[in-house]
Amino acid sequence: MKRTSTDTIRREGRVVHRRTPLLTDAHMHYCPGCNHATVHRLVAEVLDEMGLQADAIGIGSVGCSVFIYNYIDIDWIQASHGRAPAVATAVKRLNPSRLVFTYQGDGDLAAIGTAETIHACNRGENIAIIYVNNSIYGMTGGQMAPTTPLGMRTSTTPQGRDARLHGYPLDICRLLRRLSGVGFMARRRVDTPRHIRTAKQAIREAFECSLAGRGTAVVEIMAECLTNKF
Amino acid sequence: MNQTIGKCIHPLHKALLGAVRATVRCGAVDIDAERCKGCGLCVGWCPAQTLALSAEANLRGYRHSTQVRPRDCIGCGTCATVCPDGCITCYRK
Ligand SMILES: Cc1ncc(C[n+]2csc(CCOP(=O)(O)OP(=O)(O)O)c2C)c(N)n1
Ligand code: SF4
Ligand code: SF4
Repeated sequence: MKRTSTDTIRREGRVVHRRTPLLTDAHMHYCPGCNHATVHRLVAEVLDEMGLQADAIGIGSVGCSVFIYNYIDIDWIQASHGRAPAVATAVKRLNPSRLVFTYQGDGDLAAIGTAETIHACNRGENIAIIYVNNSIYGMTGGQMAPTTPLGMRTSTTPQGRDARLHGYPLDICRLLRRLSGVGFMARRRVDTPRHIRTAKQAIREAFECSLAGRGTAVVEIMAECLTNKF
Repeated sequence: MNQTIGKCIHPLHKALLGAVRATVRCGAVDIDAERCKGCGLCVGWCPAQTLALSAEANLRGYRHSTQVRPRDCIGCGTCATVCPDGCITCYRK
């Protein structure tokens, strides 16, 4: 069978995938292959597909993802470390028709911001929380976080996390799941093409849940930090 | 990362792709070489193994992804799905 030339395919074929216009032209500062960049892309694609560019307000957090406002072309507020759900609460209450979501790492959401997270979820604020859990403090050099699994080596637990010395890992989503204010919760990974697609679907459902006013929507993405995990 | 890359070279996978490639489906990709950070995820996941990292570096010093066997591309969009930096546009006839 005669094959079509690749130029003809570009001209006449349909586009299977293209960079969403919601991602700005800025070069992302993440390390090569970082899952933060993948999740940024998924969030931007979902906002684009749902037509929410003008209606979404993102609340950035502190961590490697601190410059997210440079990369996704929507309205952003940069919260201080751990306080994103509190800022999101205020923004959502003042703008009930807008989609308000936070983007947080595990050091932000499950360590310094534990109180804000639990109380926002318990009040059932109609916000979405995109929680990227790479189980360490990536930005500051890969220190152990409350979420670090037992036995995992980090820069502050070179022999592996030991429960007697460092305590047990905190699975914060298991706590949050019990709160009546939580309307949607999902845990996804972005390590394979199939998982990336299901993670994107979960982000979409979380945004739909918070827009419909069904309570707090939490999507935990189990992520890799390719630089600091060893 | 090497572990993940190994997964997509299953023999069944290969046989299936041979069959697909012999039929009408044909694809093409455009890669933004200057945006690429050479993480190699697209190279490892491409089921038709059409991609490779270039020998020379881009302006930021990364060996970027290039399509070395464009005629084998089936336009599945897997490379664009895994690319963290959104460097790839994928077309299918
Ligand atoms: C109030 C305050 N305390 C501590 C810090 C230092 N700090 C910056 S980023 C960070 C950890 C972030 O980790 P995580 O939320 O897991 O994000 P990641 O970098 O892993 O994506 C810490 C402790 C800070 N910036 N502000
Ligand atoms: S240090 Fe880790 S979390 Fe931070 S950008 Fe690099 S790979 Fe991503
Ligand atoms: S996945 Fe993207 S950034 Fe990584 S090598 Fe391929 S084109 Fe470059």
